[in-house]
Amino acid sequence: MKIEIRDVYKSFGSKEVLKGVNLVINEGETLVVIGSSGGGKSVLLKLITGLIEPDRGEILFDGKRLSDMSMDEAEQHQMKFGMLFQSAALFDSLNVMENVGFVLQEHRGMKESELRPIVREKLRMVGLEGIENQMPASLSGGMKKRVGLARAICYDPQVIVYDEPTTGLDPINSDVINDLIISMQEKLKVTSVAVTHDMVSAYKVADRIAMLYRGQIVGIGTPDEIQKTQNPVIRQFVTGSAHGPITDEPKKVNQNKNEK
Amino acid sequence: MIKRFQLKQIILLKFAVARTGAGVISFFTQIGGIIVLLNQALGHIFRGEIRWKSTLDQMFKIGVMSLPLVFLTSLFTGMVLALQSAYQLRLFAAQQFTADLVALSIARELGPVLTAMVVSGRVGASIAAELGTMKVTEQIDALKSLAMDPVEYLAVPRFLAAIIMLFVLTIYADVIGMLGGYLVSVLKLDISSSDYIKRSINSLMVKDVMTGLIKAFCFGGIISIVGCFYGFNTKDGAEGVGRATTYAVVVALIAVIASDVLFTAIFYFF
Ligand SMILES: Nc1ncnc2c1ncn2[C@@H]1O[C@H](COP(=O)(O)OP(=O)(O)OP(=O)(O)O)[C@@H](O)[C@H]1O
Ligand SMILES: [Mg+2]
Repeated sequence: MKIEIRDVYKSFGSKEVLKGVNLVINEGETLVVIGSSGGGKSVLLKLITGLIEPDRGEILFDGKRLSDMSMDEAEQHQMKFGMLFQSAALFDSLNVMENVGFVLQEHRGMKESELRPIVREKLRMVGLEGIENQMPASLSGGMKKRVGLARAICYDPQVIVYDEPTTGLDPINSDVINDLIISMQEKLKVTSVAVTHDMVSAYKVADRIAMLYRGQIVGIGTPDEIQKTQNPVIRQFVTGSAHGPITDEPKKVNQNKNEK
Repeated sequence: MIKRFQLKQIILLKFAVARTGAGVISFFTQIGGIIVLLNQALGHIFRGEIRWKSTLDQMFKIGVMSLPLVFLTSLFTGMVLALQSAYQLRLFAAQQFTADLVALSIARELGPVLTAMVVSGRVGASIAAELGTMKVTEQIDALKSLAMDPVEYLAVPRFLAAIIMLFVLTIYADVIGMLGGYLVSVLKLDISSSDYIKRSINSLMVKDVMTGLIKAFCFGGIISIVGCFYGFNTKDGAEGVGRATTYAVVVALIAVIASDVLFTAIFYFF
C-alpha cells in the first residue's frame, strides 16, 4: 500500500506537535523515521494507522481517504495494518496466546486449537517460546515488546508500523527483530514504517530514512545519503552529538528571553 | 471615567463569567459525550453485536461481588426504617402499619436507590479505573488498531451486565430490607409474625414493585455508561485514572438521584 501524507498538522491542546508533515511511503519499502524524543514520531505513526485524525491536511492510502470509506471498508482497511506500540500495549486481561491471536479469534472466528500452532509460529519468529499461557504482567519489558510484535504480524497485515521495535532488547534479540523486519518485507512484500533511536538498526533495515524535526520532515534519503549528509541537523542526530544545531537553538531562545 | 479599582472589579467579573462559562460548556460536553456513548452501545445491542461470554463475566463481577455489601446495607436500612416508623406510628397507636410502611418505602424507593448507590461506589469506580488504565496504557488504541470497536468490546458487556444485575440486586435488596424490618418488628416491637407478613404482602401492589424495578433498570444503565465514559476519556496517566474514578462515582450518584426524582414524579402522576 502506498501512503501519502500531505501537509498534516496535529496539536494537543496548545501544543503543536506536527506542523505540516509531507511524506510519501512507497508500496513495499521500509521507511525509518528518526527524530528527537517527544518530537511527535509516535503521533505520526498513530496518524498513519488511523488511531487519531489530523487537524489539517490529509493522508491517502492508495489514493483513498479514511473519511471516504464506509464502516465495513474502514474495518477491512484497519486489518491491513499491524501496529507495534511503543509500550507494547498488550491486553492485560488476556494471556499471551489470546493477545497474539486476537484478530484471528475475534474477526476470523478461529478456535483455540486452530490458533495455537499459528501463535506458536509467530512467537518463534520473534524469538519466544513456551509462554503462550502466561499473562502479560509476568513478562519482562523486552518480552512484552516482542509479544506485541507477534500480535501485530499475526494476521498478515500489508502495512506494519513499528514504534521502537528494538528499544529495551539485548543486542542479539535486537538483531533477531531487525532480520524479522527485513524478512517481512522481502518475503511478504509488506510496507513498513519504523521509528527507532537505534541507528545500527535504522541503517540495517531501512530503504529510506526520514528525519522529523520541529514538527516537519527535514530530510529524507537512503541510509548512505543520510550517513553522508551535509544537513547539520541530521548530522548531529545520526552521529549522536550533544553539540550542534538541535541542542544550540533552544539555548538561543532562552538567551533572548534573558536579554529582554 | 472608570476608576482603577472599578477596572479591577470588571476584570475579576470577566474572569468569573469566563470560568462559569467554561464550566457550563464542559458540563454539557460531558453530558453530550455520555449520551453519544449510550447511543452507540444501544446501537450495538439492537444490531445483536453482543459478547455474551464477557457479559457473563461482568455479571459475575458486578452482581455476585456486590451481594455482601447490598445485603448489609439493605438489612440495616430495613431495621432502621422499622424502628423509626414504629416510633412515630406509636403516637397514633398505629404501630401495626410499620409493615406497610417498610414494604412500600423499600420496594418503591430505598431498595433501588440504595442498591444503585452501593453499586456506583463499587462498580462505577471499578469500571472507570479499569477502562481508564486501559486507555492510558494504550490498550484502547491497540483494540482500535486490531479493528475492534472498544464500545462493542468493553462498554456493551458492562452496560448489559449492570442493567441485568441491578435488576436482580434490587429484588434481593427488597427481600433483605423487608427481612430487616420483619426482624425488628417481631423481635423488638411485639408485632406478630403472621400479621407482619400478611400486611407486607397486602400493602404491596404489582405497580409498586414494578416502579422500583424500572428504576433499577435505568440506574444500572446510568452507572455503567458513566463509568465507561470517564474510563474512555481518561488522560494523564495514573493521576488521570484517579480523577476519572472520582468523576465516575460522583456523576453517577448525582445522575441516579436526579433521575430518581424524575421517575418518582412520573410514577406519582401516572
Ligand atoms: N494523546 C495525547 N494527548 C496529549 N499530548 C500528547 C498525546 N500524544 C502525544 N502527545 C504529546 O505529543 C508530543 C509528541 O509525543 P510522541 O509520543 O509522538 O513523541 P515521540 O517522538 O514518539 O517521542 P519518544 O521518542 O520519546 O517516543 C509529546 O509532547 C506529547 O506530550
Ligand atoms: Mg514515541
